[in-house]
Amino acid sequence: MKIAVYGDSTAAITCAAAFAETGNHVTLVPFATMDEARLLRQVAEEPGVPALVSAGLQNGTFKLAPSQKAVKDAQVQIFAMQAEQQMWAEQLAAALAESGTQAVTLVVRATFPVGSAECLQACIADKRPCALVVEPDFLPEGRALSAFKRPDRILLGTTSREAEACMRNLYRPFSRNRDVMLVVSPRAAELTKFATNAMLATRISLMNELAQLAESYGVDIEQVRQGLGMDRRIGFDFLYPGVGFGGPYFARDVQRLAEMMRAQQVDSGLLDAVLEINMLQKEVLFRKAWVHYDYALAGRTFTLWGVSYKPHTESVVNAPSVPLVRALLAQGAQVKIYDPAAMQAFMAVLTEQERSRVQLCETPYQALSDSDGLMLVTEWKTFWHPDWERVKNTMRTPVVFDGRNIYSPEFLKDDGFVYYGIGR
Amino acid sequence: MFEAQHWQQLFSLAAPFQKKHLRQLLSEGGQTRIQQLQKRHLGFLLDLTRQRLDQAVLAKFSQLLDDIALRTHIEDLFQGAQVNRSEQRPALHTALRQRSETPVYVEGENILPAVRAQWQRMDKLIQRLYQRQWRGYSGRAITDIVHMGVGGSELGPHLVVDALAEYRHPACPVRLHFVANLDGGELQRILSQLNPETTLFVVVSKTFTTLDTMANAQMALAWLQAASGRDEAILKHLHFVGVSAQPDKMTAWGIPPAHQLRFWSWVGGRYSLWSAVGFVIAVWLGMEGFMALLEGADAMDQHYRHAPWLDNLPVLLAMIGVWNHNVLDLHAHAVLPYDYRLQLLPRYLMQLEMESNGKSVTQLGEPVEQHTCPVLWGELGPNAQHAFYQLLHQGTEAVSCEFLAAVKGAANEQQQTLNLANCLAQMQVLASGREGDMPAQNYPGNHPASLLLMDALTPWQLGALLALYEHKVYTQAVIWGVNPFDQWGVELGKQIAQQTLSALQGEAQMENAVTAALVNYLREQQK
Repeated sequence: MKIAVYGDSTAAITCAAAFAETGNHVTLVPFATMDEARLLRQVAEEPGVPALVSAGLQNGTFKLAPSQKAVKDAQVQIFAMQAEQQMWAEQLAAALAESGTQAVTLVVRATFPVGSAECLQACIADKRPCALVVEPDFLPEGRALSAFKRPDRILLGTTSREAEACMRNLYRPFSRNRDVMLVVSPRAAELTKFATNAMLATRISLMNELAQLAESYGVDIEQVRQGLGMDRRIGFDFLYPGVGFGGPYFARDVQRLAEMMRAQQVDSGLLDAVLEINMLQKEVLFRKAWVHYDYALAGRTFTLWGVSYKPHTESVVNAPSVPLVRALLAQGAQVKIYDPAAMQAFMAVLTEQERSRVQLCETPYQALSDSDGLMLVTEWKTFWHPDWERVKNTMRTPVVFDGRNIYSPEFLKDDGFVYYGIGR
Repeated sequence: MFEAQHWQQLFSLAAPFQKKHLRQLLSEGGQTRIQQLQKRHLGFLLDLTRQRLDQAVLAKFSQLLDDIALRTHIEDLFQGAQVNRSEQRPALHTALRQRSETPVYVEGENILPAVRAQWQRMDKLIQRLYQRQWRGYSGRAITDIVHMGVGGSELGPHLVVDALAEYRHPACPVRLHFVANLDGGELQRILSQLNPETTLFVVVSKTFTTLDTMANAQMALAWLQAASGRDEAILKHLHFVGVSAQPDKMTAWGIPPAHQLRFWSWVGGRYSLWSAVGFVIAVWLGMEGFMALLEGADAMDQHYRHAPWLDNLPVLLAMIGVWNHNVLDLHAHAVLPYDYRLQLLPRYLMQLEMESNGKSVTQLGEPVEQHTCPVLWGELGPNAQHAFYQLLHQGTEAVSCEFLAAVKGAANEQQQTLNLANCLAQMQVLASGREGDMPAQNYPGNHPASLLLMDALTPWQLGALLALYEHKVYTQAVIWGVNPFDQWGVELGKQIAQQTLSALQGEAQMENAVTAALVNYLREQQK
C-alpha cells in the first residue's frame, strides 16, 4: 500500500518506519526540510528506530520527501504533525481535495482539538471520496517502537467500514496475538487522547498533594504508593510523586483540554487544580532549600543532576529544572548542572544574565564542587548509584534534595547527609 | 488671603445673580455664554455655563487674585517655601512628579535625586514580584498584597488602583487589598480570604508609629505566626514592605533596609500617592503606568503655574467654589461621578478638601472672618439619583454640585450612553427646573452645577484630575488664608483615645464624667 506520513516528531518517524518495514511504500513528509542524517539524529535516542529507518531507506520502502507538500498518489494519508501545525494540516487537506478523484483514507494521529479531524475530512470529501480514521498517538518517548508494534490498544475513531478494514489490514502484522482494536466515533477517539493524559496528570498531581501531607505526618509516601499500587483498581503506573510533570506534549495536552472545557463552558476546576499543583511542584526543591538555609540562599551553590524533563531525552520543554534554576538564581545562588544530553538545550532557554551564573559540568562529580545542595531532578540511570563517599567529600555541605525519591533516606542519613525527598 | 476689601468687591458683584434664575441667565447668555464658560484643556471639558455667574464676574474675581499675588503663592508652593507654616515646612508633592530637571531645594539640598532614587527602588521590588520571585516563608511566590495605611496614604492608592483596574500591567501577578480601619474587623475579613504563605503587607506610615496602622500590622504578623509557627523576625523580613519618612523606625520594627521605601516630612498624607506611598499603584500599573500618572499630574502642575486665570482649571474650580460658598451662601457641595471607576473619588475628595481647608484660623493664627471649606460629600451619580437627589432637587438646603464623567466608559457603549444621558439630564433639571401640576411636582431649579468631562479615564488623565483638585484646594486656601497642609483638628482625639484606652483597660480614671460613666458601662458589659 502507498502511505504518506506527515510530521517530523519521533512518533511520526516511528510510525512511518514500522509501516515501511512490513512492505508498504511509505513517504515521510516533514514540516521543515531535513536530510537523512538529521532524520536519523532525530530518532537517535529511540531504541530500534534508526535501524528500521536505515533499512527502509536502503531497500526503497521508506522515502524522505521535501518539506510540506502533499503526496498525491498515496491511498493512506497519515497526519502525524505537531498540535501547533493544524494550519499545515488544513493546507494539506485542501491540496489533497484538488489532486485526483480516487478514494483516500485520512488517518489523523495528530492531537488536534475535538472535532478538527471531521473538518479536515469534510474539506477533502467535498471533492473526492475520503474516509476518516482518528487514531490517537499514544507512543511514549523512549520506547515508541515497541509500543507501536505491541500496543496495549489501537483506538480507531471511524464510522467507515472500508476505512476500518483498511486499518485492520495495515495493523495485521502488529496485533496478531490478540485483538486490541477498539472502534469508536472519531470525536470519541480525539477526546480519549486528551482524557488519557488528563487522567495520568491527575494521578501525579494527587500524589504530589498527598506527598505534602505525608511529610507533615512524618509518613514516607513511598510506603503509601506501594500500598496504593497493589490495589488492582489503582495499579502502580503514574503514582510517583516528584518535581512535577513536563515535556512538550503531556503538559500541553492537559492545558489544552482545560482550555477546551472553558470554551465549551464546562467547569474545569479539577484540571485547573492539577495544573496549578504541578506548577507549584516544579519549585518544590527550591522551597526545601529555601527553608533549609533559613531563607537566605545568596552565595550558596546548588548542583542539579539532570535537567531534561525525563531521562532519555534532550528536551527541556516544560521541564521542572527551568523554574527551579530561575528561583535559585533569583535569590542570588549559583547553579552547577550536569545532564547526559540536555545541557545545551537547557542553556538555550535561559537569558544571557541567567546563563552567566549557571555552570555546565562535564561529570556529575565536577558539578558537586563547593555545592551546598545536590538536587536530583531527572532520574537518568547514571545517577542511581553514585560514589557517595566521593559525593560527600566534593560537596561543601552534604545536603541531598531527591526530586524523584530514587535514594534511600536511611542510607544517606547514615552516611552523614541531610536528606530531603518528596513526601518522606 | 482676601482682606475685607476683596470680599467687599466680590460681594458687590453678587446682586444680579442673587435675583436672576439660572434659567434666565442661560437664555440671555445664549451661545456666547456657552463659548465663554466651557473650557477645554488637557483632555478635560470644564462646563461652567450652569454656574450662577458670568464671564465678567470671573474676570473681576481673577483681578482680585492678582491683587493677592496668587501667582507668587503658587511659585512658593512649587519652589519649596514654607507654605505649611504651623509645621514649618514646605509641601512639595509637586516635586514628586516633576519631569523637568530644574532643582527643587529643601534646606539647601536638591531633592529630585532622592525622589528618583525611590523610583528605582520601587522598580526593583516590582520586578521581583513580576518575576514571581518574591518568596514567602514557605518558598511560594507572593500572590496577594495588603496595603495598610490611614487617611490619604490609604485613600489615594486605593482610589487610583480602583479607578484604573482595567490598566493592570500584563505581568502583574498579584491581587491588591486595602486596609485602613483601626477596627480589626476590616483586616480580619480580608485575611480570611488569603493564604499567609503568599501574602505581602505594605505598611505605610509617615512616622511608622501611627496607632491604627501599626495595630493592623501587628494583627497581620500574628496571623502569619499562627499559620507558620516561624519567628517574628523572619516573617517581618519576608512578608513586609515599609513605607515611611522614618527609616530608623522601620528598621527598629524589623523591616530589612532592602524592603524599605521612603518619603519625606514635606509630603503630606493626602498628597502622598505620588511618592513611594503609591508603591501598590506602581505594582498594579507597572512603573510605566505609574509614570504616566505622574506625567498627567505634572502636566496639570505646569498648567496651574502658567495658564491665565480664566483658562486655569484649578483656579476656575476654586473661584466657583468660593463664589457659591462665600457669596451665594451654598454651604454644601456634592461630588457626583457618572463613572463607576470613580466610585472612591467622593471619599477621596472629602478628605482632600475638608482635611485641608476645614480650618478656622489663618496661617498667622488669626480667626478667619469668612466661611472656609463647605461640607462636601458625594456618591456615584446613578446611585445618588435614588438616594439624595430628592434633597438636591426639592429640599430646603442649598447645595452646589460637581458632575464628572468620561466620554469613553469602561462598559459597553450603549450603557455608557445611558449613563451620560442621565448625567446631562440631571444637570439640566437642577439648573432649569420645571413647574409641576401640583406643588409636590415643582422643581424650583436654580441649583448651580459644574461638569468635568474627560476624554478617557487613563492613568495620565487621572493624574491630571487629582492634581487639578489638589491645586483647587491650594488656591482656595490662599484665598481664605488658611494652611491646607496641617490637620491639628485630628490630634486631640488621638491623645484622649490613649487615655481612654488606659481607662478601658482599668489602668486609669477618666476625668470627664460622661466618658467615665461610659467607660464604666463598657467595663461592666465586657465582664
